[in-house]
Amino acid sequence: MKTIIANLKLYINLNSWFFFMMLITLIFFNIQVVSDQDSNEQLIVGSFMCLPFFLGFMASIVLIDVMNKPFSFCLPGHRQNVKKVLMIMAVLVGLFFAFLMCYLILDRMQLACFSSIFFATLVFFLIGAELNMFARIICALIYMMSFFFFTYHYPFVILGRFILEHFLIVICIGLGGSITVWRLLDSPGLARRFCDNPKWMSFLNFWSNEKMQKLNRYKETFQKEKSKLKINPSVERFFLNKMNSHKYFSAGRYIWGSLYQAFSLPFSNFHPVNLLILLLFIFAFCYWPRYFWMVFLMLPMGMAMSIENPVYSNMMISNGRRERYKCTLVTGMVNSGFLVAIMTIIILFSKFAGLFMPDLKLSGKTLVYHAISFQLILIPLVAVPIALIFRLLSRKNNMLAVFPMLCFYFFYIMSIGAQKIFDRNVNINEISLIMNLYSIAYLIIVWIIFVLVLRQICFKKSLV
Amino acid sequence: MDNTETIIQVEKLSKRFGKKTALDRVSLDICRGRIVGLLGSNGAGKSTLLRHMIGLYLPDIGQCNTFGCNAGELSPEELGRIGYVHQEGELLPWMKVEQLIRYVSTYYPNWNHELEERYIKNFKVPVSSRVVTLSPGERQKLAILLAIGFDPELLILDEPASALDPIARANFLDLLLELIQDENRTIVISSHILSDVEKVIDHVVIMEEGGILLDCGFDDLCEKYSKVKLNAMSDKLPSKLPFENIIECHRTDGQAILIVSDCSNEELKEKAQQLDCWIEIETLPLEELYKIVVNQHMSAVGA
Repeated sequence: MKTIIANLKLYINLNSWFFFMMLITLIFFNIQVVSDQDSNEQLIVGSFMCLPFFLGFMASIVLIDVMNKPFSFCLPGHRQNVKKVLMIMAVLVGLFFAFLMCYLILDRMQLACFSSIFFATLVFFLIGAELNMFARIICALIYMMSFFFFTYHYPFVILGRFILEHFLIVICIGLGGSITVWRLLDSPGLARRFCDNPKWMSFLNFWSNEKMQKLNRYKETFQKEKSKLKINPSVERFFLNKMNSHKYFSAGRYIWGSLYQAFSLPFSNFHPVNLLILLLFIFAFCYWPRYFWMVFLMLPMGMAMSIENPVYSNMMISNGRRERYKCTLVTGMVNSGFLVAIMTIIILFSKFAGLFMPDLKLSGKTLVYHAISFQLILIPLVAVPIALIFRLLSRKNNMLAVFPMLCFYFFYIMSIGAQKIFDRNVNINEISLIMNLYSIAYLIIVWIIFVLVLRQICFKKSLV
Repeated sequence: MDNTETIIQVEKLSKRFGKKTALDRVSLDICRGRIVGLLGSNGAGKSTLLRHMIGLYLPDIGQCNTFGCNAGELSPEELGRIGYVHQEGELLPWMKVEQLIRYVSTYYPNWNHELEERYIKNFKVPVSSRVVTLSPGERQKLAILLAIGFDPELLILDEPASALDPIARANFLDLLLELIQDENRTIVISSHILSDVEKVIDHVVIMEEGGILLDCGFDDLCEKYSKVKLNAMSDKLPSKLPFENIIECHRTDGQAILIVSDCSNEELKEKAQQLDCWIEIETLPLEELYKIVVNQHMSAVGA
């Protein structure tokens, strides 16, 4: 088999479901945009450019994964395949998109228009691939930003207008960009950059505990080292005093110990500026009420998952399985308590700010400020145990614990997209209504499940 | 205290991870005061067995009792008598070394501050550094301190010296020799550096493919196998040497180097006299003994 065919075959990989999930999310978002009442061809073309960008990102991830394998560095002619595979895919995606837009959507089969869309797609595909190879974080930010643009369409409209009206410039940019990328991918240092470097291990390794542990070790050694986060002596003193106020080998001492492990770092490094940034972020969502509940779901889940899990601690202290059970339970509950307190502060701020926050006008749209409803406070209480359950089930593979968040995200976007397809307006109150009716039941059920899972793991399973 | 008291009792213990059998009906008794060397190739099941002893793993079949209790149900008081160093050296990376020592010592009423100070000085533990910035060797030194700081009755060391440099390893051996002065302290040490292990152990357990190949006193093992050098005094050596249980034989016409089992020195000398040979009998190092036991097992399985 030729190396290039072997490389292309890698894309048919069962683990790639994650990318397809993200891609479908994006497609549904696009559908959501183009089915808006004020959608026009400029918006359609502009918004659909997110897709080749993300496809380029995906394509390069697989190639990075191959280059990450130490043996591939030595394979004859292998390093040359990266640019060939990327270019073949970019051209195919470009042709497909140009045909899709010109023939099916715009109904304008002109050579200039076709070429312009083709080269624009090519450039976005290659930018996606290049950014992933050289500045992955920017790629992720652009992916997230694109969702904001789906609400505030104007950047897409500008992009679409540029592609449809300035054919020659777009073609020139496309040609110039392709040549530049080709030359960049020709660099001899490219394979060396990725070879056996855990930092560049891709999402395809989500399921491999061994590889994730390798990544975690790498992070511990090289990344956390740079971090300046430290435990404040007064925080340390507080927790050690609390531990010492309980008898040796008593549950209280272990519980305070696990709280020390879980919260000493966030407490020590809490800065009011962080809260201010969080509040500003939340207030942005107050003009975008459809996504309130997502923030209220993602934020606590993310926070819950970042807290140290006492169950699987391999560091030997004299806590038995029963103590680990109690510690994890209490840590989970305290975690929820803190999150509810933070959320309450945010809601109170949003209510207070509602008294004077004006309506905004953006690209012809009026954005109305909505204070956050107190009903949403139940979401963190439901979200935290779900996150903790996944954290427990995914053991030390933190990436796996992200899975529920992705699923929520995916199904939510899918549901909105589906509603658009079936020509129904999204009714935010429906979601609120579900929360009202069943939230208490959800709350009880998820906490019971959490306790059951925790008991099962603490008393019946291996703890390493 | 009674030094025949069994403090770890493993009985027909089996453990599977998916399709792989990590431990297969393992039975083992460890008496108080013993220094046990747990040897075996990678994946032999040593770490799995050690983790069962402190209850981190639960057996699928069989049982493991430590201090007379089911290891999975060990209480904090019992766990407070066990020190454990594991090969991954997982610690709390964001803490400073001194903070981590303070934190761990808070759990133990009998934390030995004098030992802690001495250890920090001898091993040059950088107390004011953050754990995450430590090298693997420094991290391992810290893990050892945390495991011995409360004078545990049972010390379980899973590859404790693998990341240590030669000087730190020598210091660690000295420390172990000091620790074993306490006759009631039991140490189970798993290591691939057999030349180090043989200096401290009095009992050997060799594992392979999830089972125990050998469980005996170190002195018994040393006596069981001997390396014999024969030099013909006058003529050639006979084509068939009159020794039983020859495991290995390298020879020329007038010289032979044999490894034999179950032969006393007297027997060997007597036979050498009959052959009119000059004989030199050597005790084999642990590494050689280990290879012999494993090779014998392999050939038995192959046969």
